[in-house]
Order: sequence, then C-alpha cells, then structure tokens
Amino acid sequence: MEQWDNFENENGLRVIKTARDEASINKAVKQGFKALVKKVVPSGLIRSKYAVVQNKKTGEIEVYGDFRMGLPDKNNKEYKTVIDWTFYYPHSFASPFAAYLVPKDLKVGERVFVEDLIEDFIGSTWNQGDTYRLKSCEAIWNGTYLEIQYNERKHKVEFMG
Amino acid sequence: MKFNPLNMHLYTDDGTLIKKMHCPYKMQWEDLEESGAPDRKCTRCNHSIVDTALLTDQALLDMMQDNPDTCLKIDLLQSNLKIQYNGTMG
Repeated sequence: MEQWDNFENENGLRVIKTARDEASINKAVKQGFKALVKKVVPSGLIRSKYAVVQNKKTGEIEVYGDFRMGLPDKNNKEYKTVIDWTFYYPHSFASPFAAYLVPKDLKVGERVFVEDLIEDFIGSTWNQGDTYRLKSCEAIWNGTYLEIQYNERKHKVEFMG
Repeated sequence: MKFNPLNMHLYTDDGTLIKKMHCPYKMQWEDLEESGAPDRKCTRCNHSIVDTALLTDQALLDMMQDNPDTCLKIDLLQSNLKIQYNGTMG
C-alpha cells in the first residue's frame, strides 16, 4: 500500500524509522534503538469514497472515486450501481501498534524527519469530502517523545511530479 | 485523465498509465517561476512543470513519450480530471 507521499526529507534531517510489528520492534531494540510504542488509531477524518458499478452483460465492475463520474440510473441498460457512494478508511497496517525507532544518540531539540507517521494527520483535502493521510513529517525530539511539526496550512489539492 | 490519489498514478481516460506523480522537493505551484503559460519552471531542479488542466490525454501521452522525465501539475479540481481508484482500495 502506498500512501500520500507529498512530503520529503528536503532538509536532509536524520530519518526516524517506524517499525510496525513486534518482531521488527524487538529487532531494532536489540540494535540499540529506543522504541516509542504507540497505538495505531485510524482517524475518522481520513477518508476516501468509492462506488461500484457493474456491467449488466459481462458482470465486470468498475470502481469510481469521483462524483463527476456519475452513477448509472435505473434506466441505464448497460450498467447498474451495485454499491452507492461510500466513504471508507483507505489504509490498513500490519499491527494495531507501531513504534518510532529513536537512535540513542538523538539530542534533545534535534529536528528529525519521521518517514512513516504512526498518527493520522490530514495531508490533503478534496472538495468532494475525501481527505488524504500525511505519510511523513518533520518532528523535534524533546527527550520523551517526538513533537510532530504538522502544518495544517500545507493541505493542498494540487500535485506535481 | 484519471488520477488515483492513493498511489499517485495518473492515467488517460481509457486507463493507460501516463506517469506516477512524484516530486522530491514538495514544491507548490505558486513557488515556481512563470515561464510562459501553461508551464512553470522549478528553481530546485530546473525542470519545466506542465499544467495539465488544458491538455488532452493524447497530448500528455505524446509529451511523456517524447520526454519521460517531464514534470506535470494536476489539480484535483480541474475539469478534465476524474478521481478513480481502479479497484485499489489502499
């Protein structure tokens, strides 16, 4: 699964990795990392929508994600709607917990790049109600936890690449 | 055009992959230098970024075939773009 990837480590900061299962966390701890274990809690604010239409003749389906696609009405001879517009949480993770792997030499106040956020932050919004998850973000180590430097003004609807 | 915001793939309306959108510099359109509409220039990588809002699928495909490294800009609100997940639910 790929996630919203609009933020990169442009400042060349030290990268904080995330381990998403028991074995990976314990392996990292044995290598000398401090594991900051957190629950993986899906946010109700992160959501995508879909609808499914089916070809009446072939049985094949198409998945729509945009209201502008327009669903077939009852008089449509070719397609029928089998699932109407439905919002859902579009991500799944290996475990209901995860851990940030903090190097033991990380200094208090050091700015880092968290490559794979455990927490849900909104990375972008779309005016049809879809909100996309932020994958990465900078953070500051305060000696106890990582203060995620989330900037909600960076929500966007345009993409380049 | 169709865009899958979960995997960042941009397709033509008939499902041909145009490219995977990816910018390592998290540039914003307003950060770019105007270089003659509809393109703008990135000061970080010196690439031109093409605004896809007024382009046809065929024009985009031709452009990407001529230069696969062309950078594109899309806006979820532009009228020639539809969001579709193509069965990929994350």
